Amino acid sequence: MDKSEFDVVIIGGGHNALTCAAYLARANVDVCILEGRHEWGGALYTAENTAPGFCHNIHANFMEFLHFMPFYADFDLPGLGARTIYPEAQAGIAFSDGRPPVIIYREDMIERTCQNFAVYSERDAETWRALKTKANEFAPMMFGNLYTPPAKFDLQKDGLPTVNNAPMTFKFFGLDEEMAYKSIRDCVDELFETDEIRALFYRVAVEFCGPPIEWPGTGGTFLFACLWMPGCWRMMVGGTHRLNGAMVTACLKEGVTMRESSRVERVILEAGRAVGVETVDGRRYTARQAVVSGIGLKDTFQDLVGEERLSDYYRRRVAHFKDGPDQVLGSVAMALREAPDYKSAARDPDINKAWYQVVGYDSAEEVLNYCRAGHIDRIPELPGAGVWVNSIWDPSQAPAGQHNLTGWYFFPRASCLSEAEWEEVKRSYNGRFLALYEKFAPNMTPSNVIADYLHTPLDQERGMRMREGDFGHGAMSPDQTGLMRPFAGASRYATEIEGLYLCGSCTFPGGGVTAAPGYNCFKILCEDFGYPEVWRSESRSY
Amino acid sequence: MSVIYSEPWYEDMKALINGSADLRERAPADRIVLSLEVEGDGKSPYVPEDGAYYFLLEIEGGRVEVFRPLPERFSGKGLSFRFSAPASIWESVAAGQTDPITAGLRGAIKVRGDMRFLMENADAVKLLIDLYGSQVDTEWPKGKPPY
Amino acid sequence: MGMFDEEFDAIVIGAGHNGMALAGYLARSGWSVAVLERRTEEGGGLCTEELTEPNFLHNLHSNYHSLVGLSPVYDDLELEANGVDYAHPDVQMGSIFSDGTAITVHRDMEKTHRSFARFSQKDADTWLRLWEEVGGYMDLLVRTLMYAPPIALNDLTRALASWGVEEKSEFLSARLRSMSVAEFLDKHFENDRIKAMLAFHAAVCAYQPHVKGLAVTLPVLLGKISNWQLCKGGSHRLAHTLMRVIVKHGGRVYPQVPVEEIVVEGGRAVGVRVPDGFVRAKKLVASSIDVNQTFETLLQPKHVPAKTLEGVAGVEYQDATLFNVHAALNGLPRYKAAEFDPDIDRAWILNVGFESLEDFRQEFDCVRSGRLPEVPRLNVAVNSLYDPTDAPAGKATGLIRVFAPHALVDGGAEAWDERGREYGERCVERWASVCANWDDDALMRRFAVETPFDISRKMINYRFGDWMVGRIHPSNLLEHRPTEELAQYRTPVEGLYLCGASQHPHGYITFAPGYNCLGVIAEDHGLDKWWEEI
Repeated sequence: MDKSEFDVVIIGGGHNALTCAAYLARANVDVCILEGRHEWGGALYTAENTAPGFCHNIHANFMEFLHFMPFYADFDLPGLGARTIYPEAQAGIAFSDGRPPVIIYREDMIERTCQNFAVYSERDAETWRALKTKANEFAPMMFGNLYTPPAKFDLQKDGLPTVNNAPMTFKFFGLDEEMAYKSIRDCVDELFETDEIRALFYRVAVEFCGPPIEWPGTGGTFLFACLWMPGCWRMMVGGTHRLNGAMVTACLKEGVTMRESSRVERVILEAGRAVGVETVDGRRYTARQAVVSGIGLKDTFQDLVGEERLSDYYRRRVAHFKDGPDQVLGSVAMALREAPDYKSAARDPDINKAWYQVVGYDSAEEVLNYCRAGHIDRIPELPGAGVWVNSIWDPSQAPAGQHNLTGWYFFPRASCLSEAEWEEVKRSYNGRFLALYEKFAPNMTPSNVIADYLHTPLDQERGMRMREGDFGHGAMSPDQTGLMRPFAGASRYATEIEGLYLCGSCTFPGGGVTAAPGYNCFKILCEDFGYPEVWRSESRSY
Repeated sequence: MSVIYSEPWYEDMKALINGSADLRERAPADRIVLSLEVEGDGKSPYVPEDGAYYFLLEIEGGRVEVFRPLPERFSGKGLSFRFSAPASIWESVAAGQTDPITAGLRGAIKVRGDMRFLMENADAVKLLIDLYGSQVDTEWPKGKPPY
Repeated sequence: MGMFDEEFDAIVIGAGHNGMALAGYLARSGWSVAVLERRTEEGGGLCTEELTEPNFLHNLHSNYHSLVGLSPVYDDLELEANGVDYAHPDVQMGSIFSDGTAITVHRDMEKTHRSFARFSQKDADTWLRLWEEVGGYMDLLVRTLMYAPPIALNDLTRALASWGVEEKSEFLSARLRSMSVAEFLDKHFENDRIKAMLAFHAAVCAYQPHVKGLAVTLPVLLGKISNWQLCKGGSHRLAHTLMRVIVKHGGRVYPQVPVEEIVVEGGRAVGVRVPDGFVRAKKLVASSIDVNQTFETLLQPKHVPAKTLEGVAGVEYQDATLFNVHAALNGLPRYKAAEFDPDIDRAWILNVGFESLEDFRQEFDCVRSGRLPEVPRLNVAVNSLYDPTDAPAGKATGLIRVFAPHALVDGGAEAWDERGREYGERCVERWASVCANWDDDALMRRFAVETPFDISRKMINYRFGDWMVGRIHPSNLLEHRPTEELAQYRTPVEGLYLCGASQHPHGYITFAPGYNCLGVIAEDHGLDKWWEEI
């Protein structure tokens, strides 16, 4: 008979849960991790869902935190099979009239980026040189922050914490502190004069960070998403799911008990304390010390605990937690005979080898309008996307000589359309995208596409349990980030229910493959249960 | 005449096997270690209901080198075959009433070990079985099966 | 690259169930072991994907596991304690006939007997005798014919004759080796439909009813007719479980690391070359993939004797593969034939279309000629009947399989890309035609087809879509599989072993090729056989 009693039971097998589990086991805690799906890794998900041999990363694709991620180093994930490729041309935008592409190169190749920007504007090139150099200096500080639980504060005594410590950061960059109170768009527009460059930054900002780019007060995000992040993206060899393979192996090596196809149906409370869970197949898993939930906020409190067990404050806060509309994702996947060959490549062939390729927009305004559509619950009229063709660097992801394209659309929340309407989007939107694509890359004709697939927000919601299709498990708006994530008073992973902790993307610092929520939750568990602090390392401050 | 499971009975059995030129001719040269397990089944008056007799046989080149009772079930390494069956089955085979092949086919006698070896040496196996099944003159003080 | 700084005692090529089982035993024996897999997931045929919609789990290949409890691997590697979980359907399979009648095969043979008896009392009685007889020697046969290196068919028949088995058993006969499954059934049974039901069972296991000589394995097949089990949460869960066992004992599984070459030095396999470089194998390399890739692609020709290559070039693959339709359903199907036999609604696996042995002849003749039958004959499995977690609440996952040629007579294998969808629709229509609630409940949400060409592209060792990795024919079984020279798991390249489905006994979730290869390795390397208790 399968063992059923553990020190800690973790709900969900996404990368944060795996992180927390691996550290707990290393601290000699008897830990069991239960995943509802048949597969581990949550959004570290790679599927052959177009044609045989074409691997598509339908969710997470780019890795920007690996080299700072404690889990990656402490458990030698590369040695367990998580290997990366670091493409030189990181992100680019092409145009339908063959104008020169805008390309951002790796963080250690600032001059290459400057040369590219200088084709349009010497001033923009100079701005990039100065700011990117600062961004590289700033990175270690930022990571110390990510991999440390938010500071304690007392709601009664201190009142709501200040959300924004960005002004100081702007100062560090040599920029006006006031910019912190502006929007991402304002920051981009003030600093860069070229429309083509602005277009790329707009799309990058919405793709990789969160708040709507026109929201005031989110300037700090500009620093993160536009200055620091472009340039440090790495690709997992073989597909994102390989990172999961290494994480799973790390967990097993440490002795974690792992059970997939074991969806938790309820958290068992005794005298107000979480003492275990029950899965859909009727099994009970007892947790002697803690139940840790790596799944969504509403899933945890509304579905597994039950609203009637919550305080009024928790009940209201959980109910008001927003999923979307900022990062609601539709994933496009195409099996291609040839990689896209852009008109703009005539001006700079590197665009064909840019890892992240922005397609479908000829001006910054078009990107802006695209981003606005989701916020007003509409499917964008102009079917633009950001795409990756991983097989250009990693041929193992597609049959010999052929290519796997995966990309992201930004869509309205899953609940904005009926199931039938999403079906229609599924049927027709890729075709519309392709028709537009051909204008930018003439070889992107229907005959170049062997098969295609569209994963809608509804699919994300049903499959990955990302409510509304929000790939960050909760909007990254200012009222839901930092000390406010998931909500004020709950940002330190412990919850009002004794013995129940959170370690998923709904906690600080949020979505993305950071492994930080899982890591930070482990730190808190060490504090609360006196586990050995095996996270400490001489090679880093966090 | 020797009493079933008595020492002279083993000796008779051993002599009988070792006296078979036919068997020596057909038997493989390898040393084969067999364990025979006779499980009490409540029917046999010779083995306590929840008890069992265990025997070790070592055969080399068709000659029995060792045939001795064991104090407990053989659990070490180096065994080639294990034959186990309820006592009443063994006894009814020894009494010539049950064909051991049929008993094997019905699952009454369980065989563990390399069946390929048994099949490759099918003739020798057949001879051995016949010897066990019908040749020893056995005395049945508590009654012959079916008792 | 950090991953391959180390060397391993053993490298296993291919993370199918056989390769992983072998790796699990070796790791538990204290060896350092790495399993290298080309695909993105471990498991090989233990492949579960959400092919239609999120939360609908489709087993792309392996779906029925009939050796649970019979294969020693389950106990030796403690698979249950490591997380695999099986459902054992009480109605194992059934047949729906055109006149609205149906047969059901149950775990409970008394019920099977009653179902058969509605068609022929005599056959029902014969079946029960056959079943009881096989029950006596099942364990013996399974261990002899599966979990041991292949025995020569001559030795087998000579032993049966020498022991007079023919007179002692109604159904085991030395003459089985010259009979087909159909002939065996004709000899013992009278009713067409009962014969069709039993032949269907054999055909689903890749034993084509009219191939001469296959009757010899029929007793083992029939002896498992009540042991078809369903891996809950998808067959892939067994792969996860095997990986857990391997890692727990210190081994590693590396998916997406394609082996490009088996490196030979001084006539000995010393490691493999992968895209990252060379990985050394201190003791051995075991290949679990097909022999064509092993010898023709991964080894340089100079390292392989000409006669070995000649033998490998002559290895035959099955002339009938599978065409699959994976369905996301809005609920469980109910059948019109339930009026005749209500249990048919709970039959895990269904025969829709084979009503006599002649139907099988026609079907396989048609397939062999590269054609598709006008009206597809189906093998349907609805896993959600016994594992509701494989679909969202209230919904169901369905699988239709039909025998199909890998290459179509007009257009070859490539033509499947054009014709697959349309053929899938015909299969779905056939299924709908026997359902009682198809339209009322709007059962079909969506379906995906998986053609023989898809199978051979996705699982490249299923050459020509052959999921048994080698023809099921007396010329390619037992000591002939895959060639006489290679049948005992060793190869002419020292240190290179074969442990996959190309080897005796064949594909399927038996674990036997891996287990038998283990036995050979244990002999060659003096391993303490902790797993073998005689």
